[in-house]
Amino acid sequence: MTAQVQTQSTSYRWTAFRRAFPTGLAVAPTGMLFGVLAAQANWSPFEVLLLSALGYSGSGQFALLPLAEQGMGFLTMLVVAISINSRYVPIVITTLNRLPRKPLPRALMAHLVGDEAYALEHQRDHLTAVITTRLTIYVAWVASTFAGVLMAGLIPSSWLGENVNLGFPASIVLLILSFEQLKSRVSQISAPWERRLLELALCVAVALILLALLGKAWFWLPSIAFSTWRLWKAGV
Amino acid sequence: MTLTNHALVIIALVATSLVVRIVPAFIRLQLTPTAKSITERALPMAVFVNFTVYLMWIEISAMAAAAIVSILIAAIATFFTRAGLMITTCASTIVYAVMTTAWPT
Repeated sequence: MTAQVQTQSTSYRWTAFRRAFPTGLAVAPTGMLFGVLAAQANWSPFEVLLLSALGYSGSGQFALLPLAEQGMGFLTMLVVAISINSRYVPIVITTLNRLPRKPLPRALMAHLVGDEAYALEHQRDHLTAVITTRLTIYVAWVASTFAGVLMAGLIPSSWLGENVNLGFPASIVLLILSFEQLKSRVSQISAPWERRLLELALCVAVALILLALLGKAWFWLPSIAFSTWRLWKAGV
Repeated sequence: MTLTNHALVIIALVATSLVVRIVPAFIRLQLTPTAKSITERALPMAVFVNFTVYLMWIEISAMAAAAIVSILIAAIATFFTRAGLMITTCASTIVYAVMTTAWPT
């Protein structure tokens, strides 16, 4: 019986690792870019390691780096980081049933949730698969930022020019994962096709308006709330 | 920049993770069937709709033509073919790199 459980657990772990590994590779260039920029801002490898491991927020790390250089206060940085990462509140709420019950592992697993891991996970994933998925992306991020700061002096400056967007692979992976999630979830809308398209178009239009009005940091919560309401009304 | 500045950034991000990820993980929700359906189905879909809009906005703002073509390739490959994540990512990224190299802004 125990051997069977172990085999099943190994199988979940291996399947989740194979699922998460390509995404881990895709976030690496962005992580390395962060490491290089941090090195240019006089961060030591140990500080970058601490920041990525304890802070673990791609967009938050990129946002706070220049703010710290400009000498912004702690509260300003905190408000900016919370607003950029506010999307994690609804994300964590939708994944509550995937988290361990014991407080410390639960807190740790909640800390490890990221956009890519969330997009890779499934509602009914086994805990082993959730842990493996989150750890794979987390380790890839932390290791690549550390590698970036170590290799900062070796990377040609032309690689970091205005026309080089090292963050694109990470963006496109998250976009593809989001497309896949939407593709599998559209069938959950009980309304007819015309209504589904109309509601999705409305969600997109409102998200764009809120992005333009409120900006990248503040649009998340009102936009997610509006989309949730419309999708629920459409019968999701 | 001093060591204190670096420490403040780290503390700010740790506090952020505490507020947006760890504290919500300990919320005990007694959900009605409707609320359960919303949090399990409508809310995740809303998050993915907003991820999609946000990422398109960011990339199209940076390099419009290359981003539009690459995102179209990713969308077509995801919705209409069985190409997996790796192939689709490689194809989109290569097209993006070629276009940004050939037509830098």
